[in-house]
Amino acid sequence: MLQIKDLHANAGEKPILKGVNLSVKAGEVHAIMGPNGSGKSTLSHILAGREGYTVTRGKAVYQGKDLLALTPEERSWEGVFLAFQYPVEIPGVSNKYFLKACYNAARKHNGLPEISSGEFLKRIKEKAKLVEMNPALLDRFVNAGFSGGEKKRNEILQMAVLEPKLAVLDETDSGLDIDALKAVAAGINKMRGPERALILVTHYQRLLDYVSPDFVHVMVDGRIVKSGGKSLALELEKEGYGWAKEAQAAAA
Amino acid sequence: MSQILERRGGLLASLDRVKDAGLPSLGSGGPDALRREALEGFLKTGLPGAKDEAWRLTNLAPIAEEPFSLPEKPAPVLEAQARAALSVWLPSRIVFVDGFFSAELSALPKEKGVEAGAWAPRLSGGADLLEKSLRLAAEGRCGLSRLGAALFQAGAYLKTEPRASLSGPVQIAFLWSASPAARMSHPLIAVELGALSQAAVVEESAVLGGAGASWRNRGAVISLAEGAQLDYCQVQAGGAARAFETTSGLLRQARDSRFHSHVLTFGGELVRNDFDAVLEGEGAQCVLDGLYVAHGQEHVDNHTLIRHAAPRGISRELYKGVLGGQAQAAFRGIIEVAPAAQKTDAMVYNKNLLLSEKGWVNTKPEFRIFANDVQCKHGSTIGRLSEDALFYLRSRGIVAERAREFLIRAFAQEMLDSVKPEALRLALSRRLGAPAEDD
Repeated sequence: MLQIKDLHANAGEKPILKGVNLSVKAGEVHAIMGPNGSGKSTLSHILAGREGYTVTRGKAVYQGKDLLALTPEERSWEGVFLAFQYPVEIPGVSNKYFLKACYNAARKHNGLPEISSGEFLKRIKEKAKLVEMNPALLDRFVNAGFSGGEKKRNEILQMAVLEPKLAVLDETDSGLDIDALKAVAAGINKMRGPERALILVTHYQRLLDYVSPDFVHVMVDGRIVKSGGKSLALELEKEGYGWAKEAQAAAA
Repeated sequence: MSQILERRGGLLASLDRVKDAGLPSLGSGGPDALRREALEGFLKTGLPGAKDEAWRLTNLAPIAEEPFSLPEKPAPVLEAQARAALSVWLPSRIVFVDGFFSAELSALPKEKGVEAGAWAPRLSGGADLLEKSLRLAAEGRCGLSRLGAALFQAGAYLKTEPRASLSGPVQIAFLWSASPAARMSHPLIAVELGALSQAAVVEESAVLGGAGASWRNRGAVISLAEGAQLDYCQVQAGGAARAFETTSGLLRQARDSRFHSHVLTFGGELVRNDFDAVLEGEGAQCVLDGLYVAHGQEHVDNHTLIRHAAPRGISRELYKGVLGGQAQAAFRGIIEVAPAAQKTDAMVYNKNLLLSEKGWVNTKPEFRIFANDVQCKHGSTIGRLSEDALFYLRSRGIVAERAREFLIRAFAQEMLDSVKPEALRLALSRRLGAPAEDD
């Protein structure tokens, strides 16, 4: 579904990604772990189309298409989703309305008629139940005054409504207490499926206690330095990122 | 005089015409004498210019140069046209077309303890209010208010007895018919609320079309007796044609009275709103909310002065601006706290969102504090749309243009949240672009 080959990217003059290789198939769950500043959040933003980075080498192919040539909205219509570490507040726009606007934008792109309000309402109520979200939040303004946990749960709700093919979750576990973390993880697990690939970007192993990845990658200084199975995450938890940084320094 | 004539040629020509033709008579000696006085006063000073500190940022030359004249009679406007041009059509309304009162379009409130109507130009009531209001305007420091008193043709008044409460807001609407001619009007509004009475006013100005410029120079005089409460919503709708608006308001508040205004400007080639409030009685509350949205070459200037003259007054002021194209905005919010006004609690804020490189904002909240036990806060900001927020919306499939609309709404919406009635809030909310609520 996604092939990233030798991806290099700068923020301004500063190189952030220095040759990322990653291959993700439908149905797989990948975790990308790494210390702060390793470039893992940058990678997720570049996949979703954030402006402000320059790709200097390499490519990302998504379902046979050059992903990097698409605008952020086109990527969304094609089934790419990024759950944000810091979801944005949009006072004045109701959550319900926003979700419908997003949903219909993709339908329009795919040549489908817009969904009716009644039908959509039914749909988001089901999805809210799926992610254990208080339905009252649907009538509130998008993320405005939401707690940290509510914001993250709202990201998962958006994912559930848009049903992406490839979802990248950027530090979705950060700042959550254990109950919120469990709820968010449960939502993510319900989104797993043979048609969908998930990439979990995280600093900590914590989320992986609840969402079991098929592959774990360690990212340090703009490169994936080690890949393995779920056990790699446990190793990291025990030993920290020190060894990876040292290995990286030795290689350089 | 000749110098002024040269500079203000266009305006004075029409003013002379009015003078020659005789001022519209009010049927009583008092007001007419006041108006002659105001006219003489205006001719001495002319329009305020750049030398006046309060007018440094708004140049009235475009008004002075336009050959404005007072229409001789209003053009016919159908109810359907009026309704389409206005944000709401309320059951109680006082409607003016081209500066003239329109009995056909109006529906005066008939409620116990409430006196409301139009001076248009014959007096049906409110003569005392008119004389008071005209006197204040004629003695006003600003040339615009003197000119307004001199050329006044019609206006609206609302008066309540103590403890009277209006069942719904009174709409005061000013419409310009579609016309190729440059026209002006100088209406006056007077609101006087008795003790513990309660009322709401929705004032709106709109242009129906046509290539001609229009200039509304509106004065308002408001007084609230003890414990009276007034919500005053002023909507400046702009329109396709060249709309000029200068408004000035004078407010006096007695003890424990409460005033809440919304000044909502959605367009106009040149808009200048002056508002002076005096909190004369202890514990009076004054809330001024404002929103201006300007594009193209539009210019919007809001000047407010809140004077705390008595202890324990509360004032809250927040104006927000959205500026695109080469639009210009100025904001000056002065809060003055007199030595006697201890325990004053005052805030004034101005926040601006610049959508383009060429938009321009000059903002200056200001305190003049002469008491020592007060709580006063002020601040202003000028920002741009957040790239992070735009990316967030686009990553959800919202196209860039629409995403911008969402974010403009996110910035501006709070200024409409307390607008009443609901129908007005929704209509104004729709003017912000992307819809807000599910249908």
